[in-house]
Amino acid sequence: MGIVFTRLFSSLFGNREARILVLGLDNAGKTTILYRMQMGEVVSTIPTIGFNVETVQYNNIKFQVWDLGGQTSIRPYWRCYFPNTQAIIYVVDSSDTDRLVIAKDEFHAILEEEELKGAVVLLFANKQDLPGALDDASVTEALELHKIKSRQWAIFKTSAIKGEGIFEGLDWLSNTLKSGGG
Amino acid sequence: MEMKLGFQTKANALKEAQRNERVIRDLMKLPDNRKCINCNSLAPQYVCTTFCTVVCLTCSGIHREFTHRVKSVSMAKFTSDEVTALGRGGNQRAKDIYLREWNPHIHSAPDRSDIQSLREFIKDTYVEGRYSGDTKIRDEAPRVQEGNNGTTYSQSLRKPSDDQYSNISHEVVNEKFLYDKHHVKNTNGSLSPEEEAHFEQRLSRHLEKLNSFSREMRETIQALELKDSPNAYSGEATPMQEAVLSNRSRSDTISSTVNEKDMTEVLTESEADLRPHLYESTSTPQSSPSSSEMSFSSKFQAMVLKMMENKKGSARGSKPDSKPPTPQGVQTLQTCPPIGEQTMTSSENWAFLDSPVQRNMCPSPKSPNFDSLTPVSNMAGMRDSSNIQLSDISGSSPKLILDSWHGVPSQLPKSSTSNSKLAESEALFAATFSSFSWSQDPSSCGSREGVPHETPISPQPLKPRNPFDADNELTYFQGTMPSREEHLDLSFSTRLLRSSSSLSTSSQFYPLSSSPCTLMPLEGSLYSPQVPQTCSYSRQPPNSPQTLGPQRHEGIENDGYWCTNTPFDHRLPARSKSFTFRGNPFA
Repeated sequence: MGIVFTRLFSSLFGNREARILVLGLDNAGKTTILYRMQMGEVVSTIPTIGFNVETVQYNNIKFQVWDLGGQTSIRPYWRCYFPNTQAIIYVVDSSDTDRLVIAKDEFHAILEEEELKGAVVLLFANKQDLPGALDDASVTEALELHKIKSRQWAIFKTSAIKGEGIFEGLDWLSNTLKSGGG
Repeated sequence: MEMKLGFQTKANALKEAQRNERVIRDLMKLPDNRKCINCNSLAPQYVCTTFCTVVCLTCSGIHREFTHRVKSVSMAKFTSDEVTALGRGGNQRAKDIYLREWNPHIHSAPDRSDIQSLREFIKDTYVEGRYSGDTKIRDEAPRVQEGNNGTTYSQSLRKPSDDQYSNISHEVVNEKFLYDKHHVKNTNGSLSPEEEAHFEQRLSRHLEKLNSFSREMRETIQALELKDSPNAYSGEATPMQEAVLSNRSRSDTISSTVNEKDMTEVLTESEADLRPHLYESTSTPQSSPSSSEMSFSSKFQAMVLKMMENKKGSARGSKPDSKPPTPQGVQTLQTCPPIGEQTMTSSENWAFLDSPVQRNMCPSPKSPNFDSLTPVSNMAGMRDSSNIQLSDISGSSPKLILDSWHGVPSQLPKSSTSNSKLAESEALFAATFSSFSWSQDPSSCGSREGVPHETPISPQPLKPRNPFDADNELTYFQGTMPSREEHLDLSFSTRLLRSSSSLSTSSQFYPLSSSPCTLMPLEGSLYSPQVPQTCSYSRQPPNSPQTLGPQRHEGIENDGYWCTNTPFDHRLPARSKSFTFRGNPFA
């Protein structure tokens, strides 16, 4: 009886859980964004070897956020984390124009993955605080986001250091997931 | 055909990647690339492609904060350009460029465990080019790609709290850092070259003095630990304690301002200034014959050793059990039973302060736990307490009765005039040592422990102390922090001595406060030089109205033993009370 009530309650008020992967090239700011979401502050990071995982409660959704290391040799291991993923947060270093092409290739490779077919995609055009950072429109163009078919996606300008844009992105994500997008 | 071409390019790319990896692995084996250029950590695994340096994981994280590009050797693919650039660059070349003017004697190496310190160093070195010697490092440096030159990313990352923290820790930890921070701060604010040179000069001078002093101390301690030289006790230490004591009893409160920067100078100068007086006094008949041949430094060393041994004795002797804690404890007591008797029969009840007995009968440095009582009672601020008895540790040794030392100055046995100068000088010396050993930042420790500064340490119920307890060393420090007043009193006594005596050297003696640098050798030893306080526990009438009113120690189990300071303070449930019930004897 209690279990039924709990289920009913959570379905009514949407206390859901979602498994989210944070992906992107190395030095895009994935770990900083993760801890900005989780603790609300900037932490000093080192290049991630393996992953960081944190739980973030936001808008009645319990996000289990996996931040995976983005260095070249460990990108193939991303696929190990793909099953049962509701959403991808793809982080792009907007100031690293040299590697936008690589970022684009990696991004579209992810979208090809069968296991991520149902996942919604949130893009963060990060490091907007740096001079020379491309805005969201330029990043959209560079990443050829218009090629995305049959998938909900959105891009936000963020600065993990300044804490701008991240929670707007999470708002979109939680709304999308609640409406059954995930 | 197309496919074949594709295969060829793929194979070529693979070959190139393999070749690059091989080259880069070879480059990592170069002697200079075996250590992180910033923090000297072994086996760095990251390459900062911005500066073509080899750095460790921690430093790579910090480099990223400054938007410098880093790549892992094992987890990233290097392009041929990057490999070539690293071959031309590397840590050796980068040191020539970015650290050309970095001098280990002048500049402090960053602490690899302190990220803030590393961050400052990396910022100074690569962002501001402070050690490069010229402003054109960016043109000269071999770079693969020009990163963004804006530093807003890293600047906004650094929180103000970080800065505060590092400032505090620098002040507490090391004078060297203090200078360095000063230096950095001023150069940030466009310090003139003259001032900068001045700072560096002063810094190196101080470091030199510190080094020599610490070397001497270390040698001393080693040498004297090897040969338990009886010469170390030529008997001059006692009058010095009188001197301190008498002045102490006269002094009430006084504020002292200690120039920290002059500490080391004072210390080194003091030796030179003391020398003639010590030689003069060694000819006194009281001194042991061999002491006349003793150089000053050995006397100086003896002083240091004695201070340490006092403390050692105190550590051993502070267990109230009927069984001595260690074999040494037994030895300590057994080697000098006559002291107690002598003390008891002494007409002045003061004998062990002026202990010729000790001088003659207990020359071993292992037995100074009794005379270590002197500074204890000196420090303890228990002037009103009468009949402080030194409890027997083994149960077989005689009790020592130290009469009320309220009126001690009048009862003090007069030492011979030939000895007085020496006594005074040594008193100053002891005061110097005592004060600067106790004052390992007394303010911070005091506040940490919640000790009210205005209350000197007063007796507390003694708790059993296990000498093998792993916490001993820690609690030792925590429990024996002097109140500020003791420290001030010492300074006052030295001032009195200075003014009252014709000794020119006295003026050199100033209580050296918060000088962690000069303390290095002492701190390195097992026992801190906070000699006296731990050692003395005494049996005391539980309701002795002179010391503490009975109403003051409610909640504290009173078993009749009193310790001037128990190292287990922090374990007492009524710990806060134990501090609050301490009365101010001067109030």
